[in-house]
Amino acid sequence: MTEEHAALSAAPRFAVIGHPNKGKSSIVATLAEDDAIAVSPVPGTTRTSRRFALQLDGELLYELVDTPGFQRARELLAWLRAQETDASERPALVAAFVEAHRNDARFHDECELLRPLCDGAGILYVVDGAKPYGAEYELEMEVLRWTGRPRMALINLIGAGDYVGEWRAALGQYFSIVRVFDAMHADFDKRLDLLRGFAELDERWKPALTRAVTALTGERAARLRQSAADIADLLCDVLSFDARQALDATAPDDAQRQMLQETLTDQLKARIRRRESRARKAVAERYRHFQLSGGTDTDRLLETELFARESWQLFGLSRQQLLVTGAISGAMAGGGVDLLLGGASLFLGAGVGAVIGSASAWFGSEELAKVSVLGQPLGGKVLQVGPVGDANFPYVVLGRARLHHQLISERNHARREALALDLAAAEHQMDQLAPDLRRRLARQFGKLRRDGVSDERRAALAALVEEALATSATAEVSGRE
Amino acid sequence: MLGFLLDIAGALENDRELPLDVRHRRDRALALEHSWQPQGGSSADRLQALRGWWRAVGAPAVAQEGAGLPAAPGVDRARRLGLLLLVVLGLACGAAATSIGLRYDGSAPVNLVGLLGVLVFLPAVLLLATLALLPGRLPGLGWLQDVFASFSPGQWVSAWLNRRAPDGRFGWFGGPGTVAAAGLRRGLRDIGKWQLLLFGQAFAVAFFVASLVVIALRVTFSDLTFGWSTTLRVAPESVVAFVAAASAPFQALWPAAVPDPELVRLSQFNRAADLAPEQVSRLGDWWPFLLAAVALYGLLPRLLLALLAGWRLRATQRRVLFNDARVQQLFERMATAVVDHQVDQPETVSVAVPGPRETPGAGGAQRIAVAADTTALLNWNDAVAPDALPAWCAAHLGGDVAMQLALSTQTPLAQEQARLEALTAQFVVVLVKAWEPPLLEFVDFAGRVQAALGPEGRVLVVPVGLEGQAPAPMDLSIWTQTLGRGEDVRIGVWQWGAATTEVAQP
Repeated sequence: MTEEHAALSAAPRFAVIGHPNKGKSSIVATLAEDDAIAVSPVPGTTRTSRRFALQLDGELLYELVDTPGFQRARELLAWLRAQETDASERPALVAAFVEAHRNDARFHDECELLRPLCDGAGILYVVDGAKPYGAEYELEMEVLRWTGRPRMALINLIGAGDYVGEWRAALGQYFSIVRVFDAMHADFDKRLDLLRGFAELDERWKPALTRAVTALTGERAARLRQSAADIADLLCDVLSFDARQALDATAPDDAQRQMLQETLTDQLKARIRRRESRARKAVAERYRHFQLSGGTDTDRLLETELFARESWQLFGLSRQQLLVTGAISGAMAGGGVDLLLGGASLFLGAGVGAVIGSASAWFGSEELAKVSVLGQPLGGKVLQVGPVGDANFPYVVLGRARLHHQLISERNHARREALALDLAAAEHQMDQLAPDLRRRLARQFGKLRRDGVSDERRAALAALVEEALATSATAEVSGRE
Repeated sequence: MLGFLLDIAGALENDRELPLDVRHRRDRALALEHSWQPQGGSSADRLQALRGWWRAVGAPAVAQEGAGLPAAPGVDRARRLGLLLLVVLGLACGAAATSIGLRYDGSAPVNLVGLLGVLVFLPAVLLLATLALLPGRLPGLGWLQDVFASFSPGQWVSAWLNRRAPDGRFGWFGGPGTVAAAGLRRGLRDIGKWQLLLFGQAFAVAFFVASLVVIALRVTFSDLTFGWSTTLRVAPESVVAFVAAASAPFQALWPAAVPDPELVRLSQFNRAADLAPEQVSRLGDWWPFLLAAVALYGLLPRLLLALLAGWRLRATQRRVLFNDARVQQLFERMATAVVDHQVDQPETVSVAVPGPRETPGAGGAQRIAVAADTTALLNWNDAVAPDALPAWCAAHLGGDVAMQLALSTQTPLAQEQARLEALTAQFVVVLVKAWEPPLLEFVDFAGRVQAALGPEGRVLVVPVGLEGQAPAPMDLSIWTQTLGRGEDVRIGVWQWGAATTEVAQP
């Protein structure tokens, strides 16, 4: 086995190369899911090559190398041409250039980008298909041809223009594979497609890349499952939270009690908000988003006060949906009685259950949390506010968590702007769920409220939340400002 | 196990402060290193993984942070203390009750009706009450269950332990709970039920062991006579039948413990009447039956219930432990391969994004004020398409200038140099593609142009947008900033709308 063959059949390495400011780092950030990579419109942001290794349990599957852009391709090519004897010597000449200029500050960027190629990396040449093709790119492409490495051209799209056709025509003369890849907006499937495409550069890279695709697919499914568990935990917690305070021996008057009740209500709300914030952080971490910033409409939407009317309208069930869901849940419970009586009740149970269910949903939705005075086993009394009893409350929490998950899971790691979305798509989150799923959620919420949280109920809720999250891709999310 | 459960839950809760990817890498590496099988393996495998994780991660972190943990030593000590107390209490109560029941002053035999009532019948009733408590709260019977529960020595000791640990770590009954116990309240209640049962049975077993020992001692070291006496009119045949039924289970094992009908008849006495001599000689023969009855109907059920409680306690503890959401997440982290992107070095650049400027040309003249006869136009890399160049010059330079050159990166360097040396102008306007970033090779080129013009000459770089239009503000800003880093103040960037004397300079 030759050294080159060994290098190829081991973990493949790809150098992401191109003109400055054409989205090389964006492509690396997207594929490496690294939102800490500096992505900037300023040319020359990347000054040194950095390697991003995809590892599965520590085993290297492939490597991406983010490189600086060409700065002096003209002089580089002139140097190569001046040394040229015949075509077979060209790769060696490129290596010789790197060796000869390794301490030359003028060619620092060229050496940085060519070094991985001399070490056996494949080439991912990145251009911006939103801007016109220019003949000046031919110098870079010619240099890359001289390296003799397997190479693919990626047409990135930074902006609204469309010059993909002319780029394809030009790139096709230098690269065997030309693909369009929008680094900012590529979804998960497109990223996997690109990885599979890398294998086309060399058959020997295929096993490692296939394993990488399998691993990433499995990880994606695990993220959805784990996020659902996080959100189910959130729901279980916020449905059981309460705030209490011991009452003095002397009975408080109405005003004092009202004040205490308001204080406890505020405490309860603050606790719920903190819990929601923790759940969001957990979900963002699962998708490796550590640098999210706020400030846009979306953030303001997600930061909308959880208990504000606007939030409830956007994320919860409508009054009508509450009514229908309550009626169906009640009817099913009453239907159990009918079943026990073998139908002798003439379905009276289902009817009464539906009336009770819808009535409790209708009237119950006005009250946020129950306030009660509890006697203590050892004497004394405690004023308790909560748990939140409003029928719509768990749907509001779920709707908000679902929208947040949708934005996070579809968000590209190359993007540096704050979350953005189609506000219309965000409205009435619960409308996007199948009525059957809404009904099963209602039943599960009812059990949690009635019987308390148990591991079994938590797991059952997590399965339903996973189902709800899995259907969230229907809402269109736009990354453009 | 309970202490371990509290500790691991607390440690995992605190561990959530670490980023998820850090925890995943750490836990997965541990599982691979020690070949743990947290998912798909047996309960022992899972416990091994948890204990291993506790030793490697949980205990060191807890030792560092404190916060009332680890709970395991305290909880286990308290449970042992509770068990010991109940055993001692049971032994004392058993010995005392049996001694009182066997009190014999020679005036009348020990009445088996009372003795068996205390040692067998009453405990049987309490046993039934215990079983009635097992299913949890029964609708409408809660008050009765509370009454039964208040008789349980296990309850007394648990309440005492709860008072000893005000943070509620033994919160069997859903006490306030510690941070460590957060989320475990329901599980702790389940555990508490079986723990209470075990406590109660420890007391009962000790009670009957003491009772059997006292009976055996009294039988051995003193002369006891037993009889049966009741105010009720009970025919001896009924007692014979009852005794036969009661001794049926141990009849085969210990035939001597089955009283014969003659003994039953002879044993009936009345305190007002003296005993006949033939009665006295047989009345001691009841002791095997007494021993067997207390062992079978007193000790054995309690022993079995204690075993059941111990088994259920262990099973419940494991269930609560393994079903805890935090533990499941830990298992998932251990079992799921880490897909990780490792970067070989931190990023070293600091990015200064230029701030957006005003839209170029807004409110200002679009024309560059130049003297046509001393100005040359250099169209770099066809920034403006050659066929559109005359129109562009007319619009922005007021017509043709003295000289027009088309140079690009593809022009051979020697040829470029020759053309630059042929320049006779004092002012060169260089059109560049604004959407392309200013490369160092352009900076070199601008320097060469400036050098060709001499010390009096000036170079004005004009970033041009698509189709000769004004550039995007960000593009213009980038060009201005990049060329501004150069040292030659004679090279400027036109700000589209500014007079030529107002070009941006470093």
